[in-house]
Amino acid sequence: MSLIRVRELRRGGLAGRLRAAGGLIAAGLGVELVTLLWNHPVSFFLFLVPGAILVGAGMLLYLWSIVTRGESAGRGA
Amino acid sequence: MTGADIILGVLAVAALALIGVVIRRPEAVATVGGRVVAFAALFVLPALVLLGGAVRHYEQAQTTAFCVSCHLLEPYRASLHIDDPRFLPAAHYQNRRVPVDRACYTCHTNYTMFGDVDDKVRGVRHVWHAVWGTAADPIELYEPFGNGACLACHRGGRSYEEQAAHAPYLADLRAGSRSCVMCHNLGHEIDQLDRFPRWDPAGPP
Repeated sequence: MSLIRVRELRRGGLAGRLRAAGGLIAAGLGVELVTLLWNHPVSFFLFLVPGAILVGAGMLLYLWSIVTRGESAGRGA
Repeated sequence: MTGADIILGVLAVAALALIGVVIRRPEAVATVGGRVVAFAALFVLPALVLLGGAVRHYEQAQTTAFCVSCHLLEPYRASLHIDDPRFLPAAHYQNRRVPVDRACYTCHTNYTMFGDVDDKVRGVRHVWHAVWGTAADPIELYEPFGNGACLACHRGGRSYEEQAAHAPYLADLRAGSRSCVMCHNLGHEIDQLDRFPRWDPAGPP
């Protein structure tokens, strides 16, 4: 059963989307960590752009991936 | 670094560690445990860091140190140390009439429902101009200094309400048809900084 699900994940592209979401969020969190250590107007700017945008985009990609998961797997099957 | 910073840092590192697991083994989301880990790594923890970071930056952006860390504002920081009580910002700063650690924000915020949000939008605009070198030289307010910042503290105060010189203008000042700085017109005066002695506080600025 689990093996079938794993195949569905790969076929539906969910694994790739999760990786992409993780990459975006990781990059955004990295930027945000740096801005937390720096009290300067530029750090505020960097927190918003690109930090918050990367994290937000990653979160939205993740949510979109899980919402459309059944659809993608169904198309692939 | 505050306790909140440490908590945010720990949450971010935890999120990065879990994201590492999801990236290395995305097929783990086929199990319930894997889905929980993915939800924490890709939604809950990043959302907490984003929210906490926003609050932290929001509060930090109200501090005097934050404002004067921009080199364009260095003369304005220096103007707070003019040793002459006629200068409004200096007199307020040196006599603790405004919180020393939020001196800029106290007088330059907009005391309305969304004033704080307006300030942040203007702040981003400031940074944009500073980074791209398009800021006015010397820098200028986007709009005339409003009475709201003065009246937020002075309205109802005896020294303001019962001041004989204010009496004819109280209604106009409340309505905003007359500006406080028409009479109290010695502000930062950054082009005259060299002409006046500086107050040298023993404590931190």
